[in-house]
Amino acid sequence: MRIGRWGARRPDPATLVFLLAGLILTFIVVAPLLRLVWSSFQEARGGAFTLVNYVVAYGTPRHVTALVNTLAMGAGVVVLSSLFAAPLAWACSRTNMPARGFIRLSVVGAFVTPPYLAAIAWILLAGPNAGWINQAWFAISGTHQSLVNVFSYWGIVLVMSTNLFFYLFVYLTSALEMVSSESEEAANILGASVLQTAFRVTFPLILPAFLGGLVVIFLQSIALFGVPALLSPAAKFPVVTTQLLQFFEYPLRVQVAAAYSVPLVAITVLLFSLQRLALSRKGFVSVTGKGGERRPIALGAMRWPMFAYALAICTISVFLPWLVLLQTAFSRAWGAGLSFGNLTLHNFTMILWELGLARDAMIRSLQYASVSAFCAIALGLCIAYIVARRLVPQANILSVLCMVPLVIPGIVLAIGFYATYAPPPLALYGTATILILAFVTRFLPLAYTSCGSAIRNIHPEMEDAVRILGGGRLVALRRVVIPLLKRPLVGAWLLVFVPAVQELSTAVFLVGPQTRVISLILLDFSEQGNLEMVAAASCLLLLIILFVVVLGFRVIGRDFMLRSA
Amino acid sequence: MTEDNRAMPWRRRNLVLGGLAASLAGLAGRARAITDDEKSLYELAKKEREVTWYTSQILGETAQRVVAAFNVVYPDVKVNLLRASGQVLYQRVMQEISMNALQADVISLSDTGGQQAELKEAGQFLQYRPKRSAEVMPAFRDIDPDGYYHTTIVALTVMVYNTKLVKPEELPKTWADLADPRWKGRIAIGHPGFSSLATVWVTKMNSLYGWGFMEKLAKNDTQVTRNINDTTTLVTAGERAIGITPAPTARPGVAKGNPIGIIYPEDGSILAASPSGIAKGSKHPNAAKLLMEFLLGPECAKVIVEDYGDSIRADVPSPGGKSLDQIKTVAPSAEESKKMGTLVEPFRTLFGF
Repeated sequence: MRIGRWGARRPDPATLVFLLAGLILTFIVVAPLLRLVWSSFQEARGGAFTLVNYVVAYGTPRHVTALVNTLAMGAGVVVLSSLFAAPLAWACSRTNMPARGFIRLSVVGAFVTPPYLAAIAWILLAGPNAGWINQAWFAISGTHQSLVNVFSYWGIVLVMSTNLFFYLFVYLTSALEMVSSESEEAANILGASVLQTAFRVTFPLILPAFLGGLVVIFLQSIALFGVPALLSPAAKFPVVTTQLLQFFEYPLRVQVAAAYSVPLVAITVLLFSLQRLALSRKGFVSVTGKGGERRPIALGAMRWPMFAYALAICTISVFLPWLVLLQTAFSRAWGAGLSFGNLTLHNFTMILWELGLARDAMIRSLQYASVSAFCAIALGLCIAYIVARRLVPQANILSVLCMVPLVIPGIVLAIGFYATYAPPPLALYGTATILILAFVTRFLPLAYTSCGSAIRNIHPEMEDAVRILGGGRLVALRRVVIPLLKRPLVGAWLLVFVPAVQELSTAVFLVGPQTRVISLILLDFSEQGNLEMVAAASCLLLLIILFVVVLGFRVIGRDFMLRSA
Repeated sequence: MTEDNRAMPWRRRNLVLGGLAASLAGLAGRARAITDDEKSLYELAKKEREVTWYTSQILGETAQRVVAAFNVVYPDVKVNLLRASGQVLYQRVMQEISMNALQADVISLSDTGGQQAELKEAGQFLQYRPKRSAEVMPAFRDIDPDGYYHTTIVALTVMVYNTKLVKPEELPKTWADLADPRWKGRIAIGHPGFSSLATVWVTKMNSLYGWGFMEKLAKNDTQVTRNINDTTTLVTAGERAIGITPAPTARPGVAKGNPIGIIYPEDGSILAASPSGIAKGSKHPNAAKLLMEFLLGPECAKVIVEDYGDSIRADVPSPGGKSLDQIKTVAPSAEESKKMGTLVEPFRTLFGF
């Protein structure tokens, strides 16, 4: 009875936390977003109400083509990424495929390769005239007809997929690791083959994670800028982000850019409604309070073909690009080819010792990214929990708000932030705060979806048990949900941390003299044509990030991501 | 005229560059003698203590070194540097002006004058004629007859070629040569819709050779890159034989020993001059004037040249040892500058992007 009285007198303290989360969301998402929508209806001079921006944005057939192209590209990336990620995630987490730890580590390598660098590497690999692959082909076939061309629709889709499939891999892996073997074994006992079990039992259980991952990949791909910037002009394949950039050239048309971005927000809302519809009448709870065992599935004769497939994916997405980047990083002149005289450590010593600027910026990036990742996860977890447990009516709105930043191109988001928070009274311009806030906003979708798919897999019965025994919702969160989610949360943290270290498009607009981050230094190097330094700095970043991954695994005391058993 | 690294191995080139730097240092030593005007400006500027400089004309690294060089001469004036790329900085300036909170004292935009003229018309620049503006090459003086803004940086657009793919005797000598069908599938150019230097180049080509030149390039399967610097990457990789590139992008690759060389076309390397001005509402007007003088002076030019840029002063030669008045250059006229954007749409239609 004591418990009941306690509960009746005081409001659940969790409600306050959740209110706070909503408030923060208003501050970092709603305000800049409203500012964006508002400015899409404003005249450039004077700011009077107008629809002209929409007419300019969509009145030209070429601008509409870019939007259609973008959707086609997003669809291609979703398909290719699924082909990459789904078999790998399943094989790495549920089977006895050889070298699973190595494959996992390689997949992390794909993720920490900035898309922009991957695009450069792929120009060197699959350029129609001088790409390494084509040169090998010329030598073998004796023809001068190129085999592969990176400057094409499939080239763009491939380069994007090599980076983005990681998201799907992580979502699927963390979901697969929560599915117990019992249902799979039941299927086996009833005569289902390994593949049948995978498709009929395992796959349906991880559907929420799969759909969540697909949506994230789609939205990421249509807002990604670095890859199309390098590949799409030569492919004659204009997309939304390249078109948006034109609005930022002289004469500057920020309001038109805002108008052009608004449909992307609408696409996000639509996708989420579809995702909800697809998941609405099904249960996906696989982690309950009743235990459950997980045993790897024996692949038998399929072990080695599966491994060969995984190795092929890793070669395409990691080994080949990094071969190019390593060669560049250790070269005096990357175009001079492989020779002893061309080898040097100079690029590394420059960055580590001589260019204080680059080193400081790297440290700054790591700091901002870790703080941003913590904030984004905390916020994402709160909101994912509210939404999953339907703690407030219309929780779905929160979910959409969390996802919208994914499709707002970074530079547009940055302008919203700048306009809202740079002037007094907050006057945040030039501070680390505004950068971190922007990073949190930008990567909130990643934090939110990974927290969300993990929470959906946990049955409320365990929290109910806590509450029956007298614990409040916060106790349930702290003592049950978070411990259960430890591994997915570390994964989610990394998922935000890595792109935040490399974030360029928002940073470009928001950095002040004292807050320059490494991505801007890399941009400067690459604008100088100094690819050797870009590659060397990226190698150092890769090392640091891999170190953080290993550290994360030590801290958590589990075999996260590097499982080798 | 070509700059070809095959003729000069990397180490020797470094020696030459070193010698050049040494002679420059001597020269800067002579020129460091601060003029009386600068002395009195410095005394006033010391009381203002700091100056905020917005620039998109040079890269961050170079900008930092310009600031360091400034502080060697004027240690008691702190420079708050904000470096951003062209349109981002312009957008920032316009935002701040609309909120009545412009932070900058000196504004250096990487535009050939259109944006600066706009700011002048809006009454955002302070009228000031730096003494040093009489020292720069005649071609770069008095870009604004009323003295609101002054050329502080010039960018040179040239050709870069792959030394493994093009023999010395085959090299194009002029821009016009590029229309030849033998260059089919071998040229890369920047996109005027994204790159202001590419816009200047397209404008100048159009006025020199007519739109037919661009049509021939398109027919020749010329590759378009968004960023004009990317052409150097393509040429270094051997993906394309010849690229249209800013000289400062190609020069470091030549110095390091990449298989590329630079061609300064006989019909004129394209020159884009970008001016700087002092903000009307500057809270540190004397420090701002001092910085303007410095940007036109020899110490600043020396830093720019060390980072492979071109000098606006005849007494500080550009990389390669020649000053800009010794090679043929062409620049857009004021008339052409005004109509600069009009070729973007035809270009997009022509090249399908």
